[in-house]
Amino acid sequence: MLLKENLGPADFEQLVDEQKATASRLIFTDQSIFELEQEKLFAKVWLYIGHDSEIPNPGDYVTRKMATDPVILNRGEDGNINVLLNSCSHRGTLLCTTDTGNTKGFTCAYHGWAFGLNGDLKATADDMNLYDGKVDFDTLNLKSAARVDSYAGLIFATWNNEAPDLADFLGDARWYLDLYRKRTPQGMEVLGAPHRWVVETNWKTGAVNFGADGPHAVKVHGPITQATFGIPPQAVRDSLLYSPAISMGNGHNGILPFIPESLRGQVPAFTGYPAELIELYEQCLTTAQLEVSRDLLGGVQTMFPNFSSVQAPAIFRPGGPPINMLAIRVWQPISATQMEIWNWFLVEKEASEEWKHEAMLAGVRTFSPGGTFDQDDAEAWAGITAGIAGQQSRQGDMNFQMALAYRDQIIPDFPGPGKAYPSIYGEVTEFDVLLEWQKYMTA
Amino acid sequence: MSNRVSETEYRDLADFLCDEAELLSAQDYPNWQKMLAEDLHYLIPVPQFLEQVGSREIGIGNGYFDDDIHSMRIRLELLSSPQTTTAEHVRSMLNHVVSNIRITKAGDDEYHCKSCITVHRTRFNKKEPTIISGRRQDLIRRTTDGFRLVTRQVNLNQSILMSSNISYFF
Ligand code: FES
Ligand SMILES: [Fe+2]
Repeated sequence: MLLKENLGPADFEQLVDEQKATASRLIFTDQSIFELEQEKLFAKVWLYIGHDSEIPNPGDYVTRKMATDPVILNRGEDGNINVLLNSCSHRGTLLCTTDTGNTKGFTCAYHGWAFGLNGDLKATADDMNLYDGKVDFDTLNLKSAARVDSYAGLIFATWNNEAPDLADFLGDARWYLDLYRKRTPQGMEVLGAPHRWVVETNWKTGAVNFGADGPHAVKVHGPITQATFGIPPQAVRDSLLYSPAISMGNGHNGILPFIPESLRGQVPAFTGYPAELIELYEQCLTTAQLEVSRDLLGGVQTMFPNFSSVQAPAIFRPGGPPINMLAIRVWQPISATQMEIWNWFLVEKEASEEWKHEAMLAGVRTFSPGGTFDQDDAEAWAGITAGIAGQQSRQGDMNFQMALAYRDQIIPDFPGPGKAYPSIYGEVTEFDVLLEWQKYMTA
Repeated sequence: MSNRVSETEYRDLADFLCDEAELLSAQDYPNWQKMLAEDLHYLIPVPQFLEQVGSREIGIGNGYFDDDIHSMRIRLELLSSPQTTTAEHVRSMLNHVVSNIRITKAGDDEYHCKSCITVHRTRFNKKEPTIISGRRQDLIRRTTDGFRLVTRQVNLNQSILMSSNISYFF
């Protein structure tokens, strides 16, 4: 297919073929599609910005991105959370140039316009009366996100006044999100500053992979899983082949990899979370949620469009117990063929200092730019971009046709909401991320 | 006691750092591992742009690398065979440049070594190398069997890493 100048809904109908379970490779390489995504998707949808625990006190701020836009996330004097465009309303200069800090407001480096934590214009270059009453200063406050809301400490924002409530947008996905991020009374906290790195691939590659891709885990991560968790690749395969993948609705997808038959009895309940945390999980999760949590090896999820998470156990000390790490991340769109991964580690606030430290070590050694999982994923993903850049290769499809075998096999009476499919090899839920993408692009 | 080192000590330790750099560039991990102490701590913090006044830390901190000898051995084993690494299959072309070496005594048989390390890395799918540089602070111990790296902290100069991964060492 050749791309026209002005892509319309009809083109996007063709770019993802629901019947065939394929997508055009162009949506992973073409810059004009990338530009349209900014308008039709990223300006419309809820985006993950940061965690409550990153800005505990009034004046605390972190600088973030909403797709290609720089924003400031801060806590106001009133305790309210503000999400402001990090660009001066005078001539557009980037206002806040640090990664994090505490402040009373933001002053522009260029002509000195000053803004409060809620974005209100406080001062111009000199006496504001020099404008002689001819300018309505209320129109010169910093642009704020149209809506800001949070769930389980996870702060989201959107530029879209008409966006549904965050609770409705997350919808049934909350049931699955709770399994990993809302299972103790106090909830979770971040362990440190985000890891940020550039990968030469389209952002959707990450979103789809965490939606999630079963077979790659055996091929790419088999050796590390064996080395750090003592699980033979065959057992990883069994877990993924026979555990459910869930379409939670609104493009949110994920997997529930259970301990395979061959390892029953060898892996502790909750893969080794400390007893005092498990006790809290038992208080906070429902019977049905506990039923699916108890025998999980971990979990991987993508909250549409670009917010993902992974929980996995690892043992880096000979003879030591499994330590679970939980990472959350945003696949930041940079260009059609480049993304930045922004990655944080979370742990329960109630956890002991020792467990927090161990969970941090397990996290940075696995899911980070130097992590034994991510370093290998990034290579495979950059390989896609290198492989489909050509005139011939970009005409092909991204193939999700395992979905043809699995998409009609919805598990009846699954304890959780949404649609559960019987295999993480099924490609159904990965493809669902792209079907949701198509909805926005054709709207 | 002065913490100045003799010319011979300086020369021996500079040789150690250059030998090490050569092994890291060649990805000769079985031999690099021999240069590590059992009580190794290899740390690469996350570089951040912070306010000079009003800066604050979030959480307990999570470096890019935070390894002891056990986790380091697992990393080295995985990176040593094409069967167990995707990131380094095929292997990167690496060039470790060590400079600005300054050494002081840290005790009878230990030394503080500061150096700058610049790693030029080329992957098969990109023509230009990515270049990341860092300031290293090492603690190096003299044993009857040669020097051993005990602690290394590397402060990198990129707050967003312009590289798909760090599947090598500084
Ligand atoms: S651009 Fe910010 S004050 Fe002029
Ligand atoms: Fe992966």
